Amino acid sequence: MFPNAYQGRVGFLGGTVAQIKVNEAERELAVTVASKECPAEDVRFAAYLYMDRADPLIEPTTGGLRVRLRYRAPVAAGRLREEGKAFVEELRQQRFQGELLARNGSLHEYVVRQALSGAGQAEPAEEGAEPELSAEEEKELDRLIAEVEELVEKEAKGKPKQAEDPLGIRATWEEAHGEK
Amino acid sequence: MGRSRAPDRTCTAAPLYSRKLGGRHLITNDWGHYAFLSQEELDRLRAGRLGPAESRFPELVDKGFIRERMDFKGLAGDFRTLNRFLWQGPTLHIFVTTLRCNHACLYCQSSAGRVVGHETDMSLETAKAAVDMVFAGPNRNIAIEFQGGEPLLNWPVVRFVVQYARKRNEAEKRSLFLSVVTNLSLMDEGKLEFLLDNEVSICTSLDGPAPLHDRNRVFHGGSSQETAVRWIKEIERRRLSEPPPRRRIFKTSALMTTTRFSLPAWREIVDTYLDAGFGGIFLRPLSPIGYAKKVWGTIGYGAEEYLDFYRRALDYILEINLRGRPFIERMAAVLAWKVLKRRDPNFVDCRSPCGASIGQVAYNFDGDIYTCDEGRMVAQQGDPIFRIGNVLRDSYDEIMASPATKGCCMASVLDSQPACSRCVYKPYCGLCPVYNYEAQGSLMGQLPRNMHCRVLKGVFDILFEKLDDRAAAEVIEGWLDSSRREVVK
Repeated sequence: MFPNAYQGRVGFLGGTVAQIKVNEAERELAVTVASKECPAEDVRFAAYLYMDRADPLIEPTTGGLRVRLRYRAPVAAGRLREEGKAFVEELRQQRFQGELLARNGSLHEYVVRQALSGAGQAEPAEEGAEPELSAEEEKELDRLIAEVEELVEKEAKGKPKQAEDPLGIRATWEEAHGEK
Repeated sequence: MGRSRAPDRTCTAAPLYSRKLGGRHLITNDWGHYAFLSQEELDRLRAGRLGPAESRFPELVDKGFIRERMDFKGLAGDFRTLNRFLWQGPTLHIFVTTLRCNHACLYCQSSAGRVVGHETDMSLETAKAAVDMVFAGPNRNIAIEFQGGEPLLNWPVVRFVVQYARKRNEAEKRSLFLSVVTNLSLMDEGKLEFLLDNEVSICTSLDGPAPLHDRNRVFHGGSSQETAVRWIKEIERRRLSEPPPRRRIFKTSALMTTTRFSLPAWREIVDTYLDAGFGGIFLRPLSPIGYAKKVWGTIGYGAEEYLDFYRRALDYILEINLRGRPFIERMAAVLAWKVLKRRDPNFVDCRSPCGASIGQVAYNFDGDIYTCDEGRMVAQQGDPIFRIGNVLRDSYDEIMASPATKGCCMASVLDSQPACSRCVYKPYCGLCPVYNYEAQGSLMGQLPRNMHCRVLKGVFDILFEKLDDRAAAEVIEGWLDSSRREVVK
């Protein structure tokens, strides 16, 4: 696929690496990353953002995904390597955002819901430095966060289950088509 | 809350968005807060190693960036304040009293140059029904704006709407703001006195110095720019010589449209506004919507070209302010209003969902109602996709429930846009489904390749750079001391 091409490896997360392959003649760049290090959704977000300069194609590989970016306009010699490294950085960024969403989704949803329901009215900010929380207050705060997360989870369970998907509409491109 | 946890507690990041900007990292959240972090601070926040003993910790707690210290009630209040337009209904009501115009502007959709014939004039019956529709909405703040064509060519309807709206408002007791967007070439003593007596704000177009303005805004009755500036100065003279309580005369405002020919003239454009006595300028980019789409190859430009123009002009404006003359760049001021005040400035073009139908409504001369004036422009080119009803046949509830209203709302909620949902500027930004439709063929668009997105992202980059610079930030903060209407208009 990449004759006479540059190949490199860039440290990603947790000591693993993302593979970068560059084919300057074809103006094509391929970055492979393990799914355990960067979930498919985060890979899709990163690839989508590169649509301003390249046509992306995401392909499954053993244990991961390969993003092929074919640049529409000519790219200066050596520039694609830098683009590859920048794309790995974008993957890191998206992975971080994905993790934040996964960890905080229920809290975020709770606050927005409070705002939309009119329960959260703006209050004047408290002034001056406050003392540290006591052990009891720490526990109370943890209990409140857990309570909110439990509440959101319970509500989600109470919702009607999604209909079956006989036509496979909810399947991703990779799941539906696999290797090209 | 507002109290700190023991230093050994692990504190992790709350929901936030980030972007590297000028060697530091900008972080924001949906509650409207922002902060700049060094690489090291961001890394430690990500790893849950930013502890209460650190100097930045209280600030990050107050701004809702620390998960274990989120003040749910306060943050919900912040979100509500920043997005209060969600509860209010349309504020801006655009009346297209006629499509006739005596100008033939390069970017305008109005098949300009035709002043004869009255087939595209709004009738009094339609105008009355449109005013009734305005008052059918729930918003206590109403702005009726006359546009065209050149609205003064259908003066009887302008006059009627002003009087009828004022009359209806005696019972409604809402905050009613009236304005007319005119090229001023048809202004005369009688019209001016009526507008001033009825406290109608006057807004005109001023694209820059006469050679540029007159090239953009073709007028066969002399220099369009000189005519406009003459009236601007006359209105200002009366405003200063007739202070309230006799009557409240608003300072004339002006809209500037940036064409390809404007790009090298950033300094001259700003100077023209200064010379005409304006307190600010809105460096508005042109959009390939309606007629402008057809001539984009001649008058259009890319996002990077516009951003270069914008940066130069903004730097010049900041320099003018630092030399002691207050002068606002309104796009920066509107966005700064959201960022620094964390409040909605009622700017319908930049919010999520966008202002289509739920923030603004456009009434065409024939009574057809559109999501916005841009949607009406698309219809004028033969595609009525953004039509939401007609004042003579439909109710307020029906226009709010129309497919075009729903479609625009759904397409412009930034959480549903892949490129926006994780963007650092999402808390303050907005997209335009009409732009998406015209430039990219769908309401949703494809944001990474979207000029509207690139322009806004670029302007936000520039704004946050300035806010990270003490001198520039002080100037921009000073702009926010003006009233909201002064900033937005």
